[in-house]
Amino acid sequence: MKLLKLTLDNFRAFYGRQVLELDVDDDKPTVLVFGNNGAGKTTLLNAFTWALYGTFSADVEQQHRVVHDQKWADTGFGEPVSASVKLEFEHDGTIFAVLREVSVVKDADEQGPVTPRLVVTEVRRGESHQVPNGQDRIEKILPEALRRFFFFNGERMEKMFTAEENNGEVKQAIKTLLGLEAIERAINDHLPKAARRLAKELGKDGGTRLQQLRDDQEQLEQRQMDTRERALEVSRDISSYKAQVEAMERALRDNEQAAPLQKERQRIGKQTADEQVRLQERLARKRDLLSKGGFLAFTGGVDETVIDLADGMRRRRELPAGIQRDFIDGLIEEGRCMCGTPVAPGSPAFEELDKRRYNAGLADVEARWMYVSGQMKHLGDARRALLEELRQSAEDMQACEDTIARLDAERSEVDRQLQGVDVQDVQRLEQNRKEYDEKRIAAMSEHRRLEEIVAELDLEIEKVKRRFRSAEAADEESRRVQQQVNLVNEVLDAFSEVLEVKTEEVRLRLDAKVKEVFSRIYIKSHTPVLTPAFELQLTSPAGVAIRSTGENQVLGLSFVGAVSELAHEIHERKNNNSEEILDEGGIYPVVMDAPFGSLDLTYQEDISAALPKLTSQIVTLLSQSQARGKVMEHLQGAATRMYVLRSVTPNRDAAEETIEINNRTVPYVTHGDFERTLLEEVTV
Amino acid sequence: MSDQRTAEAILGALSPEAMKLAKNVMGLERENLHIKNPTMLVQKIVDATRELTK
Repeated sequence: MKLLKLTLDNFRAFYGRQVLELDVDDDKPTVLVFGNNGAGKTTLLNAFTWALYGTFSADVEQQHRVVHDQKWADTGFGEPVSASVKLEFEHDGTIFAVLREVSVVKDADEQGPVTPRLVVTEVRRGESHQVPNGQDRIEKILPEALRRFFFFNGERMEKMFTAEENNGEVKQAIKTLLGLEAIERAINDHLPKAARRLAKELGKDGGTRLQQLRDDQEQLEQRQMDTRERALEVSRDISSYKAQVEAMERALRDNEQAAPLQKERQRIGKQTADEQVRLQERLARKRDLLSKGGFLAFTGGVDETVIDLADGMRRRRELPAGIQRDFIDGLIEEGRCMCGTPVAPGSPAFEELDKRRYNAGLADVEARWMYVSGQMKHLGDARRALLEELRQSAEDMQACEDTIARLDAERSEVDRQLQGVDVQDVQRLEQNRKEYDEKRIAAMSEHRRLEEIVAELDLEIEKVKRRFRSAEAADEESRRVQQQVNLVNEVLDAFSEVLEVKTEEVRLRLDAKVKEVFSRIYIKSHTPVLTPAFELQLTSPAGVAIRSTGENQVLGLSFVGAVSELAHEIHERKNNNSEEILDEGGIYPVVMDAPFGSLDLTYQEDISAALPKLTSQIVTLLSQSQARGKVMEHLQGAATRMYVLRSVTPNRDAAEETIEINNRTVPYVTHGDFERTLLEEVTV
Repeated sequence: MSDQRTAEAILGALSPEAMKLAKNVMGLERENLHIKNPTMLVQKIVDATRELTK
């Protein structure tokens, strides 16, 4: 497929007829289209796919407004109005013109949804014919499933291989593009059905050897089909579990940022709780101190008074020290003093002893006083100790309160940092991940078992086929049917073997191509790998790389380039060998909006140098900011044609702008009566 | 030397009738690739097979 011309008539932002010539020289495969934001680059990209498939990409807003707004406004009620896109291209020696058009009679202020009309014409040997089923023809030339490889927005390219559901589509698209889908359909569906249909001619009574073998084969094939269906269901389960595991892993990875903060918050929470317990303990201790010795705080002065009083009494001999009363009692009882003087009752000695006995009685009082005064000294100590303990307790409680206040501040900071982070319970996530992974492993085990059954049935079927092939036919008619079935089976067996060989060959060639293209663009030591399951991975020395947006973009571009190159090579091989029945391939253009996405300047430069080598025709839509310095140099060097999407605006406040192309100043934004975009070719 | 068979060698080993049928089938498959369930394709293979074994 080689693009020749795109003609827009009142199509969305493009007023009137705007033409984009697309034919390019072999050594300059690029058509550059510059446009500022909102000028219509995305619309132009969509014009190609709308013409071919009648649909817009999801990022196009107000898809029902196909007719240019001014054109619609200028049309009177009841008058016809139309908009169209015509894409002319050459494919396998035939020129095609695909015209998609909406044509309505205006009956409302606003445009409503309209089904566009498609007309496909082909010019062969100078004669033009309308193709009866145009959409089918387009599908044969470039199936819609492949549009993602050839008409795309660079900013969305990173998503090409990121979504799980994309893998199957990508794999199938590769097979379609490289000619493997046709042989796959023949093997899996049409040849076995043809063999069965032919074998039915053997009759149904089941009495002959061939009939028996045919019935055996049918039964085995039915069992195999049922097992395959079950395997397919299990395979879907595996994909679903895998997606769940990956989602949990992503959430856990997201939580890697939150996890340390969460741990920190947990630590702070625990410390705060501990500190609150400690504070309560210290409050209880204080209460205990006050309940048991709180009175001491009010005894200040009492102790000194008691001590002074006791000392005064001692000094006044009111508290005589010495002999105990029971000793004097003993002397009086004996009637003699310890000095030998008789102490008869009534005698002066007796009187003296009796007096002493009285005073000796006061000794206990003195002892009590002594004790009390001693206690009074302790009371002071106890009061001082109490006050010290209360002071210490107050200090401890203050320390607790200070710690709690500090922890509160720390938690507040952690909370602030956790704001906006999807905080989830890491343990719950991990538990879910584990559960889904266990389910996935169990399903994989069942899938392997089912595959083994399918393989065993394959062997059984093969045996029955061999027997059928060599079985003796009962009559001429049976022999003829046997011969027909054998012929179909011969092709079927060969195709099965060929598909295996070709699939691996295509994968290895594509893998090598992707590596080659990727290394031309990307500086890191990452290596793309196309796995046996046709999944595109990026590996680093540490294993499978976690791809950044930029890496996904480069990977996507490399893949598109590799697929284009390989399709081209296979197509060339087919052209050089007319006997080749399997190779397909083709030449495909690439139309890309914002080829650099959000890549750094270094990559922009590398990609701008690599782009022209990706395929034989590349239409690049880009803004002025994406085309400076070396990038512009590389792109211009490979361009056959250059266009500017000139934005015309009635807004006189908006500044008019120009763009420098080939040292020429070209209008980029100009003032006018109404909003529209003009497609203007710039001399290269 | 690799003992891996090539697609060309595999197809080259087909009988002349099988080779004709293989080409026919591939042509039909490509012709109908864009149709999910082509009604006439299997019958066309059957017819081609019958034709080749006459």
